[in-house]
Amino acid sequence: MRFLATPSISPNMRIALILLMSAVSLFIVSHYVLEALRYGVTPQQVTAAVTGDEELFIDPLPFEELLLQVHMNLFFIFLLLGIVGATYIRLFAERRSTRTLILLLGASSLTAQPIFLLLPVAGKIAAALWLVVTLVWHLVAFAAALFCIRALARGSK
Amino acid sequence: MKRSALYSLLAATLALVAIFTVATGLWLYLLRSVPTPTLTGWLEIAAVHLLGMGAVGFTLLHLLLVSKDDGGPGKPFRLSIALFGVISVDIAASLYGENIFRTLLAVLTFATFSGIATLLAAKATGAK
Repeated sequence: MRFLATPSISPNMRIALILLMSAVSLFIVSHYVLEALRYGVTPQQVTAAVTGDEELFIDPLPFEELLLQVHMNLFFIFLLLGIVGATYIRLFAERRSTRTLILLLGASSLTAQPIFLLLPVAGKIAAALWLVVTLVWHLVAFAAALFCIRALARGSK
Repeated sequence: MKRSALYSLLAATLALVAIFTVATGLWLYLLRSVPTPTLTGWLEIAAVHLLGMGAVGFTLLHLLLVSKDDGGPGKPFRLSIALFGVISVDIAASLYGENIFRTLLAVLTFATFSGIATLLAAKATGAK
């Protein structure tokens, strides 16, 4: 976290941050793909995966499984928000959109978790909402990581 | 917006995420209420949580230390000792302790983590 306080980022630190942001970008993509494969990309698929479907021989997921998923996701979000947020603020503090981006990333990623827990009772409405919010927070985090990589590679900050 | 204000916003958001993380962990723990686990079962949980709780605890304490007007090193240092002490006792006791004892320790861990996170959120947002 030393780079947060130094006035300029050294070339070595720049390379380290590019590698870190690349790893974070890969995590975001792979996490989204994993969730899409596990639960589906349409409200029908998500509802069937969580509440089960007798015609398709899909067993419903126990609530403990959903809660464990939320618990792990929150931990990933904590690390993601800490790394991407701190780097983005260090590089783009003067931008007006920085505050909005941090708020949007925090709010959307947090909102997705209780919605996910509501899937067994709220059905397709919650599934549709969860799909949108999940896509939003992954896209925002991915865009922020890419902006950081671009700025670090250009050496403009 | 000033950089320090943006970091405060980030710290408050992280504190909120930490509270939710620990709350869901406690909920999960109480839902499962497993009997005395096997060594393998315990290690599967303990190994991940030592890393996870260490990372969350360190990040929160780090943000608390760098946040302005934290009243010197005394309070965060005592908090960090308490935090890591509770984690160690909790993880160790989960192998041998009775269910009620372990539940009390899980609640204590939750209280320590959420207390630090709330303190950080209060400092980050400027609340007195």
